[in-house]
Order: sequence, then structure tokens, then C-alpha cells
Amino acid sequence: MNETVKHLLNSLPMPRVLLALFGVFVLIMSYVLMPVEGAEAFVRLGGYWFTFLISVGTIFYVFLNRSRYVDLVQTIAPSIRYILLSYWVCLSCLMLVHTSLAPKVMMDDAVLESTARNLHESRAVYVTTYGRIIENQFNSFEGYVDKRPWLYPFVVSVVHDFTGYRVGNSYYTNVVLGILFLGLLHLIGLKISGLSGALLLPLLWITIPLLSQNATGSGMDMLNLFLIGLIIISGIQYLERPSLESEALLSLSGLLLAYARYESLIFCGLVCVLIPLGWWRAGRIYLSAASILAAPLLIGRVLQQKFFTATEALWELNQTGAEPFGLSHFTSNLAHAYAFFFSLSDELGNSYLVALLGVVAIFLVLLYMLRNASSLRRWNSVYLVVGTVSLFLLLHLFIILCYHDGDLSRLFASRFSLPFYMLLTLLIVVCLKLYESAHFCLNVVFALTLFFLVCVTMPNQAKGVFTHRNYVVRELQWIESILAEEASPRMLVVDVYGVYWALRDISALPQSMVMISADRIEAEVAAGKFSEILVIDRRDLVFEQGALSSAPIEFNLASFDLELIDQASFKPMQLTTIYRVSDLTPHFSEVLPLD
Amino acid sequence: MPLRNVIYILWLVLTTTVSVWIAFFALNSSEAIHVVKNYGYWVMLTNCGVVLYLLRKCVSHSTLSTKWIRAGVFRYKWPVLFILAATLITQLLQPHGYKITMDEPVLGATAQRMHEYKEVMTTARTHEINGVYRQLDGFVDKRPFFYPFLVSILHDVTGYRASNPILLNAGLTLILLVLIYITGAHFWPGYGGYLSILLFLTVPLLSMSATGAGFGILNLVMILTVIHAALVYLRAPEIHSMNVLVYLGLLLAQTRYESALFILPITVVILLGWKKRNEILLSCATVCAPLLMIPYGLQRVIFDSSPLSYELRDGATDAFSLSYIPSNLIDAADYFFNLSIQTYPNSALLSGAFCVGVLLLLVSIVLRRMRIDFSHSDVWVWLSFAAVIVFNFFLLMAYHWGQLNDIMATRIALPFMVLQVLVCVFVLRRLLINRIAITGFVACCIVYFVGFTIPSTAQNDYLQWVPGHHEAMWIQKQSARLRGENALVISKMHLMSIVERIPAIEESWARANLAKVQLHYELQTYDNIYVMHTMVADPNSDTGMVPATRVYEDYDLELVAEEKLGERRFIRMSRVVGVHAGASYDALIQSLKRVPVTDHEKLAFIAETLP
Repeated sequence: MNETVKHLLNSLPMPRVLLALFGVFVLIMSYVLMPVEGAEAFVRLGGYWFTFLISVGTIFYVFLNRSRYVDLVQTIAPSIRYILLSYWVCLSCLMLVHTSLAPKVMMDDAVLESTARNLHESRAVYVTTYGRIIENQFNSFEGYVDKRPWLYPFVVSVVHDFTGYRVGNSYYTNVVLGILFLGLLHLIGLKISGLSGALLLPLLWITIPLLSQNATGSGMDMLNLFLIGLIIISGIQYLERPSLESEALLSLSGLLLAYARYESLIFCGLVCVLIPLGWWRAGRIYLSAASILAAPLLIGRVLQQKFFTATEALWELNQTGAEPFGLSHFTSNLAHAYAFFFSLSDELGNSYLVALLGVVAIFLVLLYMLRNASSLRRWNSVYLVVGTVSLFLLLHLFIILCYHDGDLSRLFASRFSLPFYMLLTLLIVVCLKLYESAHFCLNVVFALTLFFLVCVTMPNQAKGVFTHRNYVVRELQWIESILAEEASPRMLVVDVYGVYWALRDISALPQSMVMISADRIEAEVAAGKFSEILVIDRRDLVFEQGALSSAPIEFNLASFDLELIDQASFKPMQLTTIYRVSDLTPHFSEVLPLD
Repeated sequence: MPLRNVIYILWLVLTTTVSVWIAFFALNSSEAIHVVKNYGYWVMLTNCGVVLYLLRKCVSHSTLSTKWIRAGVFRYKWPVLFILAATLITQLLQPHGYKITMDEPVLGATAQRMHEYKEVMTTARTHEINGVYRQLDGFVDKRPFFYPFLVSILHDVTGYRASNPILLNAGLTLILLVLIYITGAHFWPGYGGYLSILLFLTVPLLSMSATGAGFGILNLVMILTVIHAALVYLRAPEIHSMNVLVYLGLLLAQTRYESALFILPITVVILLGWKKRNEILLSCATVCAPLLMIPYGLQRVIFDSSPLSYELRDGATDAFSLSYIPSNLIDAADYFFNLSIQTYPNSALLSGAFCVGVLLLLVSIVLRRMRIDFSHSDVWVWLSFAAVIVFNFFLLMAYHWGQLNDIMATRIALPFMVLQVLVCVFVLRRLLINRIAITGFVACCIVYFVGFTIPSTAQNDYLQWVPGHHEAMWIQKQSARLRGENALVISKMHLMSIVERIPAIEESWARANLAKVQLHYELQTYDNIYVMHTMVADPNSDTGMVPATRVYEDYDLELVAEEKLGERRFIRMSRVVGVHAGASYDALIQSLKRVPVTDHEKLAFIAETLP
């Protein structure tokens, strides 16, 4: 061992090491020295270029590593290749048939779409909350730099760049990512246990309705999952044959992942573990250009984390003073996680089967490791990567459970469980491979998975309770359809969902803001800046003295007379009403006299 | 006899006894409903799973490979092209849609329930609760559920679509024509396959069923599949092919009511196989098979417990009676030999050829110009299955609703028509060896198809005089337009809305729960509530129209759409703009003990009070 260390130290490329250390120093200094406001401005204006550089680098190194992936595919016999291809197509169809392309987590999706639009139009990491049409062009007036890492908006913005801006591009991006993710699962399964793994791993994933939900939504979780898959396969390829190119691809995959979701920053740690392992195996230190530049390329992400940490409003805490992260959340969230993973109801997008088999697999794999502790050192690259990734996925779950909003049984938080499902499914396939003698078990797991798919997943997907329960989506779609019929262009919508409306080139302000600036808004309508004002109001219905009634609308300033357009209920016993402010008409003659 | 076989026989006797006891004697109607509803799907899934497993075993023993399939397709390219063209013709001759509105929406609603809940139940009340389409109450239907099961699987893998039953029937038609071809070719290698398909194509009923959403085509597919399984088994009896036959037979028995009778020829064939092998072939799969028929028996218990199950028409006292046979035979003759192209989906050519063929066959046998070789195993298969088809035909003749010239009953004779086709081909092969005569017959078929079948199908959907058909179609069309809208439909044919996955309740149910309708109207649980109802001639006026039911007393309505169904008969779709529950509404409000406060309570309140 000492000789290996000596050999490694002898092969140390000093200039590269010094450059890499300098990069780390720059990263730390920028985090420490940059003020919060500066960090926000830096992310807003420079953020795009970080993801751009990393993405270009990744594409370049994927190209350089292409022969490895071609070799991997060519290890499959041509006839089996066709079967696998058909299987991939079938599973992709199964993933997509039961769910429509629509937002799934309303505010997250809208904010990401808005960031994508700004990245597309002005290369700024920015969310528009209010904008107005000037000279037939919708201009952003107000907004903020979001707390969400922006890799997914960046990818969508690239799609906008090539195909033109369309709200639907976010969904198409996730559909493609979902299909590619299934393809990656085939490859990972193939590496772990050959054809049986290539067939079983994606099939296990299809039993998880959350996958379909995210592949047809516009959230960032599908990309996160895809990149976890990419880091696994590039990690395996790197450890099998360490080289400058494969190391670079692994580094860049880690960087992309860091920009994909908040907590995915931890996977940089995974890369930091895997890369030295590869050096150890190769007996030399590579330190590719991508690895040297990795630390500076993280500056955008850490600065975003800095202003996110410093801005309490961005934490969306349920109560003021509550701790966003802490072990105090762990116990209750663990109980919720148990309820989520082992739920048999149709209310949640979980897979009972994967949870059950996964837990059994964890125990069996640990048992195997204990019984074969002496041979662990001789583990092949696949097991090393799966083992290391599993530890980080476990850490990921721990972080989620320590988060104040980490209740996985909540509709909006369930998707945080997706990376943990990766751990469970990987270990199921690994377990079946380790206990190779039990072919019967493999057949049973296949049969069980198919049975579960037909009898539990499909009916639950068909009902889609976990998707349709999100009443905000239906409500906004309804309002949009009414506005399309009733409202004239350049209207002002008085509603809280400003980001959603700005995405559709509609000016929107909350009721409180309009009431404060009533005079100014009245003047703006008079000047023709807005054609009309439409008010969206939400009222609870109550039973009072044996009759149904609702509290009177608060938006009743003397300046505004309201005319009812339509009303409907989307949440039990709550009415959503659309009013038109009827006593406002543009008075062009007062502003610009004709003579 | 080996001890193992003795044990198997005892086991078989036990499982058969237990099955019969559970299926017919152990449970009362409500218990039977519970069992069929909750476990029927799983029994069917097991049955299908076993069939697939056994078929896989049989196939793995054979030399089936992609190479073999490719070579086969190339070798049989003309039959393949002919079958594809024939399938296309069946799909083009008639409009696609739900045809028999008494059966097909029920099957569609059952399939929807099996798809979403894995329960064998026809949903009769659906609502959208918090944005989620929920199937609530329903009933266990009398119809065997193999067809809805297959439709539900299609929903599972392609997503729910009201047209999936029609798509399934299109696929099944292709399989049926392949089977018809193989069977025809079996009787007359070379030409028999083409001629059978050509003869069958002259029956417009084939096209009508192939473009509908009923279980008639599946029934034919299963009959022919079981016959071929029986032929394969009896040629070389062995345990795998016997089990395939048994389990396919179980599926056939659960395809249509009267198809359960095919269990008898299957039993005969199995016994003949044992005789041929001089040993008893039994396995675990065979002895467990009777247990899978329990849901079928329980459905009969449920069926018999309801006085309305047989849908007895005016004047009828018994569902089955010998007294119905003479008049039903006259109606059958009217159907089979009708030469008008506007009346029935029949083929006088096929019926005529069948009669002549049977006559020639009998004469040939009597004059000993033709001999039936009873030592050949195939003969027993054909005779036993033909006997059941003929018996089923006479059973239909003894049924109170067995008038074949009534389109609601016509399709039941489809298996008999397949028999007609096969008899014609058999007789032609045996007797008309003259090439000119054969060419003449083929020419007749083509002329008949071009001159009668095509004009007939072009002019007719054969449903114009079916009461309620246009009403049902109109309701389905309007319901489909409501997709995406948060709307509730109230109508007498609410199943047509349910198959479109639109929340719907039956009109009489809505009347019985009018206070709840009013409550949810006030709560605006739905954007719109629509009533679809018919308007008929006012008996007190020469020109006036009145609603056929009391809808104007229950609701204030705003007309949305209207269509004429017939002379002084209209159908309307109206938006509810007021509900008159009166005192029952006040009583309902007063009875609400606890006012919901939290979101969860509010949701529960909505779910509990929905009509």
C-alpha cells in the first residue's frame, strides 16, 4: 500500500495540483468575501455562463468518451439489442400514457419556467413577478433571483433558443429526460447484472408513479434524477478504465448535479471520493482540466446558496423563527417517510413494492458484506460505485428528513424521495446479482414487479389522485380559459400568482398592492396602459344560520366597481370568482388632447 | 392406476365439489356480490396468467423463433395480405362506436372499474372529488367479464379511452379472420381459408360487431381458439396441451353467458385423449381449474336473485320456454333469408348455401357417397363443438328474446353463422370437385358481397329503429365535449357519460337525492350541472312538447343543445340554473351536525354529501 502511495506521490502533476488548489481558494474566498447583495447580482448576471460552460464541457467529454458507451452497447448481442430497444420504447410509453403534460407542483414549476424564460431572453437568472406590455413587447418590471439552482431552467432555455419560446418546452424537456433516464437505467442494470438487470431496473422504476408525474411536469427533479444516473454510469466507466477524459466527464457530471437541485451539492462529495479511487486503481493522478476548473465553476452555485441562506423569506418557513434544517425535524419526518414509502393507498405516488424489496435488499446486501468482508477489497468498479453512491443517497435522504419541509407524505414533498428510490432499486438489482444462485428469486421479483405494475401502479396512475389533487393547477387553467374568452389584451389581473401570469405575458399584481396604488392604477388605465382590470378573488363558503354564505370581498375600494364574470369552486367549500372592474375606461382625451 | 393419479382424481373431485358448492349454494346474493366484486378480477388475472405461462411452455418446446415467424410470413404472404385486407374491409363497412346500448356501455363501465379499482363492478355513480374522478356506487353485472377484463388491460397499457373497446374489437377481428382462415384451410387446403373469409364477409353483422364495443367477436375468437387447442391436444394427447385446452376453455366459459356450455365438448375431448393415451393425464393445474369457475357460478346466483335480470318483455312469463321456439324460428327464417338490403345485417347467400350444403351432406351420407371416419380424432372435436353451437342456437330459439330479426338479439347467432361458413366450405370441398362449380360459387360470393353486402352496410347501421340508440349516442357525444370541464351530467343513460369518464348520476337517483343536488349546486362543486332528457309530444296538445320525465319540476333549466330524435321526439341538454328540493333541502342543511372547518373536514363533507 505504501508503495502505491509513493508511486502516486511521484506521479503528482504539481502545476495541475497548484491550479486546482488555487481554484478551491478562489471558491472559498468568493463565498466568504462576497456580500449577499453582490452574490445575488453575480448569480443573476453571471449564473447562465457557469451552466453554459459546464454543459459545453460535458458535451465535449461525452464526445471524447463516446467509444466506451458504444462498446458497452455492443456487448449486447444484436438480437437482444432490438428486444431491449423495444422494451425501452414500451416502458417509455407506460411512463407517459396515464399523465398529461401539465404543471405538477404549481409554484415551483412556474418559477422554474420563468427563470428559463429570462435565461432565454436576457441570460439572467431571474424570476419575473410583474411585467407589462410596452410597444407590443412584454417587459419584465419586477422580480427576484430565485433560490432554486438553475440547471433545469438553463436546459429549457436552450430548448427555447433552438425552437422559440413556448411554455410547453418545459414539459417536452422533462419527457425527453424521462426517456433518457430509462435508457440510462438499462445501461446501469446491464453493468450490474447483465440482461436481467437491464430489464429489471427500469421496470422497477415504472412501478413508481412519481417518475411519470415528474416526467410529465415541469419540475427540476427529472433532470436531477437523470444526472444521478449519469454520474453512476460515468463513475463506473471511470473506475473501470481511469483516464483524463473519463475523469473529466465524472467531474462535470458532479458539477451539473450540483446545479440541478439544492441538496444535490452533496454529490460533489461523491465525485471527490470516486476520483481518488480511480487514481488509486490506475496508480497515477490525472487531474483533468475539468477537475481543476471544478471549484471555480461552483462559484455561482455557492453564491446562490449564500444569499438563499441569508434570506429567511426564501425558506418558506411555516412559522417564523422555525429552524429550516435541524435534527428536530428528523423524527417526525422519518415517520412520515415510513408512511409514504409503505403506503398502499392511491393518494401518494409511491411504490410499496420497491420500498419492501429495497429494504429486504439493504439487509441482504449488508449481510453479504459482513459474510464476505475479506473480499470487499476486490470488489469490481460497479459495486464500488454503487456502494459509494448508496452512501451519498442515504445522506441525501438524511438531509431531506432534517429539512422543515421534508414530510414526504405531503403531495408537494413526495418528489424529494426520488433519489432514495434510486438507492432502493440499485440495491434490489445488486442483491439479486450477489445471491446469483437464486435464479428463482429473480423470476419471482420479475413476476412480482409485473403483477404490482398491473394491479397497483396502473390503477393508481389511472386515477392520478396524487396529480389531480393539486387544485391550484386546475384553478389557474380555468382562469386562463376565462381570460382568453372574456378579457382584452393588455389587461391587469389582480391575483397572487404573478409569476404564472407573467409567463403568459399578462400583468398581474396582488390585491394588497393594487389597493395601495389604486389611484395610480386608475390613472394608468385612463392613460391606456392597461385595457381593463380583472380581479381574482378566493372566498371560503360557510354555513351560517342554516344557510350558505361567504365573507364579503375585501377588494371594495370606492374607486372600483366590480362586475361578476364567472365563479367556480376548485377547493372544497371555496369559491374562486373573477370580476371585471367596471367603472374604468381609458380616457385618452384627458391625457393626450386631440387638438 | 398409479397412486399419483388416484390422488389427483380425488383432488379433482374435491375441487369440483367445493367449486360447485361455493359457486351455487354456499353464498347468498349479497355475499356473492362481495366476492365477485372484490376477487373476480384476481381470479381472471390468474386464469390469464396461467394460460400465458402454459402457452409459453408449449412455445418453448416448439421451434418458434423470429426466423421461423419471418419465414412463415413470407411463405404465407398472400393469405396474410388477404386477411389484412378483409380486416380493413370489416373496419370500413360500418361506423365505429357503441352499437347495442343495453350491453356495450355496461361492459365499458365495468372495464373502467376494473382498470381503476380492479373490481368487477359496473359503476353507476361517478363524481369529481377535489379534482379527482371517482367511481362510487355500482352493481355487479350479469355479463361474464372476460371481455371487460381485456379492455381494462388495454386501458392499463395505453391509458383510458372510451374507444378502447372498439380498438380491441378491431384487433380481435384480425385474430378472428386468421382463425377462420386456418379453420377453412383445415377443411380445404389451398382455397378453404380464402372462401371462409369471403363467405363470412358477406354477413354485415360481422362488420357491425367488429366496429362495436361488444363481446361477440371475442366469443368467436375464443370458440375457434379452443377448437384448435382441442385438435392439437387430441392429435397427440399430453399434459401441457390438455392444460392449455382446459384454461382456454375456462376463459371461453367466461366470455358469454351461454359459452359455459362449451365445457361439455372440452370434457369429452379430454376423456377421448385419455382413452387414446390409455392413461389419465392430470396435473396440479388441471385439478385447480374448477376453482377458477367460482365467480361465474356466483354471477349466476346474483343473476337469479334479481327479478329484472332476464329483462322479460311485456307478456313474457318465463325466460326460456319451448313455446317460444316456433315463432322464434319463423323470425330466424325471416332474418336468415331476407333479401332486402335495407332490413337486417344478414347474408341470404350464406344461409341458402348452408341449407343446400346440409341437405347435400345428409343425402350423401344416406346414399353412402360420403363416409364420416369416426376413428379420426378431429371428427369428434368438430362434432362435439358443432353440437354445442347448434344447441346454443336452439337455446336462443327457446329464449323469450330470441327473435333474430330483432337487432338486439341478432348478434347472439354469430357462432351459428361461423358454423354455417365452415359447413359450406366442408361440403364444397367434399362434393363440388368440379372447378367450374367452385369458380361459380366464388363469383356468386363476390357478386353478393358487391351487390348486397356493401350497399346494405352503406345504407344502414341497422340500429335506426333501436329504441334509445340515438339518444345514447347523442348523450355520449355531448358528454365527450364536456371533457376538461368540471361538469356533472344527470340523465337516464348516464352510463354513456361514465364511459367518457365524465361525472354522472342517473336521473331517478338525482331525484331521490335532490336536496344534495341543490346543496352542491349552491356550493358550486361543479362549474355546471347538465340534465340530458327527452321531450315527447304533449298528450293534451297537437303541437306541444313536454319532457318525458319530471325534470321541469325538479330544476330550472337553460337549454344548451337540442336534437330531433324522431317524430315529435327530441333530446335536450340543459344547464341547471336552479334546483327545487324544497323542504328536503332545509332539512338537509339543518341535519348537518358539524360544520366543516379544516381542509380535510371540508373534503370529507363534500365527499359524503355528494348525490
